Amino acid sequence: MERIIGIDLGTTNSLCATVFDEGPEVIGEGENAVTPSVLSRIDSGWLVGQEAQKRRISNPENTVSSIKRLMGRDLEELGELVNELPYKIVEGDRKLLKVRIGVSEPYQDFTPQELSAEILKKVKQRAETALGESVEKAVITVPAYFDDAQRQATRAAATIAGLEVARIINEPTAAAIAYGLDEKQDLQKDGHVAVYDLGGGTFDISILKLSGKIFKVVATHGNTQLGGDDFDQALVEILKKRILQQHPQAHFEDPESKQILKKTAESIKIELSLSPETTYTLDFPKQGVSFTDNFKVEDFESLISPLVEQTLESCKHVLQQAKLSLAQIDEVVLVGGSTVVPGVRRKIETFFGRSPHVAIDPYKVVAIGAGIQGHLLAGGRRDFLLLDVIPLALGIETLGGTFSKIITGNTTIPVEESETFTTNVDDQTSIDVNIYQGERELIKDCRALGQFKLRGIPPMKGGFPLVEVMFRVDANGILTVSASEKRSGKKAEIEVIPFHGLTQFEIERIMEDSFENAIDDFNERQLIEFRLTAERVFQGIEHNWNVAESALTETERDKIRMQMEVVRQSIKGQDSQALKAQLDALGELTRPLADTAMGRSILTELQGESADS
Amino acid sequence: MAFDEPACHTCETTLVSRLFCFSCNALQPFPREIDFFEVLGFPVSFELKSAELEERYQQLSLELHPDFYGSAPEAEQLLSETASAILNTAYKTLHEPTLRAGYLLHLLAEKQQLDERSLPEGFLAEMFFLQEELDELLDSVNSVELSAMHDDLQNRKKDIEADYAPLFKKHEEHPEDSGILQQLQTHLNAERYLRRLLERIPVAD
Amino acid sequence: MAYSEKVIDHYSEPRNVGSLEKSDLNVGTGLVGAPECGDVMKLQIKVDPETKEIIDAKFKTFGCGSAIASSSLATEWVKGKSIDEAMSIQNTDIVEELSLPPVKIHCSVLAEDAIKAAISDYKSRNQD
Repeated sequence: MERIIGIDLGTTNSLCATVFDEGPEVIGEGENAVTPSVLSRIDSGWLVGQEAQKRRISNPENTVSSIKRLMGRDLEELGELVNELPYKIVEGDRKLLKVRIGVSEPYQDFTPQELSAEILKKVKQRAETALGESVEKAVITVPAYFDDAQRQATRAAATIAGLEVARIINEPTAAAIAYGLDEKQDLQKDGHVAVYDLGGGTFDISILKLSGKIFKVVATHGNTQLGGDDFDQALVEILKKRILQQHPQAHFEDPESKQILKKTAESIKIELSLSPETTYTLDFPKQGVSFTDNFKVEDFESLISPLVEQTLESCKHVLQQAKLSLAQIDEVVLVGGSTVVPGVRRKIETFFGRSPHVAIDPYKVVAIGAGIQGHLLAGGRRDFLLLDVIPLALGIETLGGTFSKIITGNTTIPVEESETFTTNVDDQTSIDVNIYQGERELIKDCRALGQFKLRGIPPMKGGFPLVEVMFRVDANGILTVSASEKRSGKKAEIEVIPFHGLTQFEIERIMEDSFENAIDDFNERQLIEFRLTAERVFQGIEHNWNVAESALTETERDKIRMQMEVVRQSIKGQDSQALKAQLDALGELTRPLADTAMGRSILTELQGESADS
Repeated sequence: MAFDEPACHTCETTLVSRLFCFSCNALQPFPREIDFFEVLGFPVSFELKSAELEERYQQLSLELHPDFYGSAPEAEQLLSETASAILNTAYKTLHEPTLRAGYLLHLLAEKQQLDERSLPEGFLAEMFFLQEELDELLDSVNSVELSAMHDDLQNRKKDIEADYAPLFKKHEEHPEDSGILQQLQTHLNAERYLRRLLERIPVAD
Repeated sequence: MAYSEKVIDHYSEPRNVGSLEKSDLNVGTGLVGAPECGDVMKLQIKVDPETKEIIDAKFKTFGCGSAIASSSLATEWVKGKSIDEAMSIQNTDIVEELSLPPVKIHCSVLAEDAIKAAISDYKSRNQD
């Protein structure tokens, strides 16, 4: 049986899982299990994950995070987010977003799909290393409220990464599977389950009906632009105000300052999940600004309260859609890193009037569910079935910018609906149809998915042809369209012009490019990684030289200095293994310092390297 | 409703559902004009036990869903996708009494000339009046009267729905009487106007 | 599907919304509905007793944008026409003018029916 892994491609972190003999579990151990969804550009390649994470402050212009929030979107839709992100975003053809790398010409621009593909490649590599086999297929999770364009973008990213997408499933549904099929959990096997999923950048609430072997999604609602990132951003705004009170000259527009603020906000958030108060220090060395203060958990909670309230509004809405009262919800499951925040958890508990299930690690539960679904798709089991819905209605533009629904929201997928079109004038051979997705009445409040150009309609009197257009939403929640003229029986041609996505041609071109680049990849990647390690080891040594002054003899210190020079020479060369050997030698020389902070940091750097490659 | 006794295309067992043979586990090719009762394997009738429908839907979903055809030949994958799609639509239609009534009437009235726009006497004028009244209530944000109107409309809708079963039963006993079908048509039409009004009233928390 | 300015206008700024005095003998009222969607439409015409020309028209529609635009267009068209001319307005004319998609054709039918109902109401009240 071939293996189909499950991948949780998150805003902040990505991880994968599969079903082992002992049961479903995340692939990889410790740091290797989680790949931060961060990339950093170096030479002609990317560093992904922990490596990139470390460069967020040292190299902010070239480091990209939270790409998931850009998937399938355009500049207008991102709104304020564009200014909050520490990297540059430009708009290309067809409103396609691109992330711009570099401080000056020549810039390099990348689509979110390409960037997500790099994360997926890293996850794939790590899975392959851990499993000792190649991985070709995956179930990838997306927020339930992702629309067609966002799903298409996710699938394109996987294709670029060389992964075949066996299925795209919704994150909350994946979580429900993980809980529902775990015998250790005392989740009721028949009843209504609410899955509250608050991640780094997205929020979803889904209601599922569990009966027998079937997990049926009844209704789903959410916000693909609301998550823990927004908590951080709210904190960042407060931090800025506080700093300005003491240092009116301080400014925060440069990428480095943005990254410093964001990182501090993140750690305050994490600290406050554990203790009622935390002290933080913000250093902006280039501005000569250093600022220390406290943050109380009450202040943090009132800060995020409006955001949490928004999620509860969604909860009310979804209950209405499901035609259920609060009393009819039998279980509540929490998913996503942001549900760890005590203030969030408390509010959910009050709203639903019951304590939620949290036994499965909210960071892992989605990946585990996806892994189980992958196992089912590979034929490993067939004792359960997931019936999911399309989150938002699909339809077409009609008169005066109004939206005509063809498939309503919360319809179980797969689903097919057909609609008959005709021509307005004699001998007209083509019809253009604009496709939208949303729940509002006007197309300006819905998302434009694309334009379908129906071609090859046999010439007839106006109004005479009957062009039947079939709208199909597959089990991935992705739309395909086909058409035929019923009087002639002729299949009409359909050209699809996506408004927010890559065309097939563009995907293929990116894949070709990355294939050409991949030839020297391995040596190059290692070279890049070892150079970085060297950089950090040097920093560690220089910062702590005073320790060396007191702990080492002059001879020992000279040896270190000489070895540093050797490493510097190796950095300029192209031989990754030689560089590695020289670095290890440097590590040996600093071993007498192993008990000091300096020694520890150097050794961690070197060990981190060998564990990962 | 092409055949009375559809049989499996491989093992020739009589089929419960036209989509799948439970005795040899084979997906069945099906005609596009298949009706929803054939899809779920129930006689063409308004009487349908909710629990039985639910059970059949689950049973069929567990056989037809594309998730179980991941490594099957492409033609089978495609068939499972279309079969699941029609199963979902059929279930949704038959599960909801108003949709079921409308669909069944459409099947039964195929050869009959029904007045598709018929309404009770004076009904349209009343609906227009209620729409205007609702406009005023919405403007004045009068929640007490709004909820009174909501309850009233809801009750009228329920009264109509309660008539479907006896009327369809009457039709089964007197299939020649097209007046019964016309009456059903009138009911369905009236219900749609009531639903339209109800949709405009915001639901209170 | 680019709609002409005129069409969008009928949607965003419908003309002739309102009522005419129902008891006026020169006024004809048509009330119609679309059971497909539950839309209701009232269309009124005022006829010059001498020339038998429609001198004013008003409508009120509870329904989707297409139904509103169709009735707005219908009132514009009947004004200045004789009763017989107005009788000949077809729903297909409205479909073409507003480029209504198939799902919305019943809205144009509604407008045509409303014109006919208003005229027949006027006629029935003015049978001498």
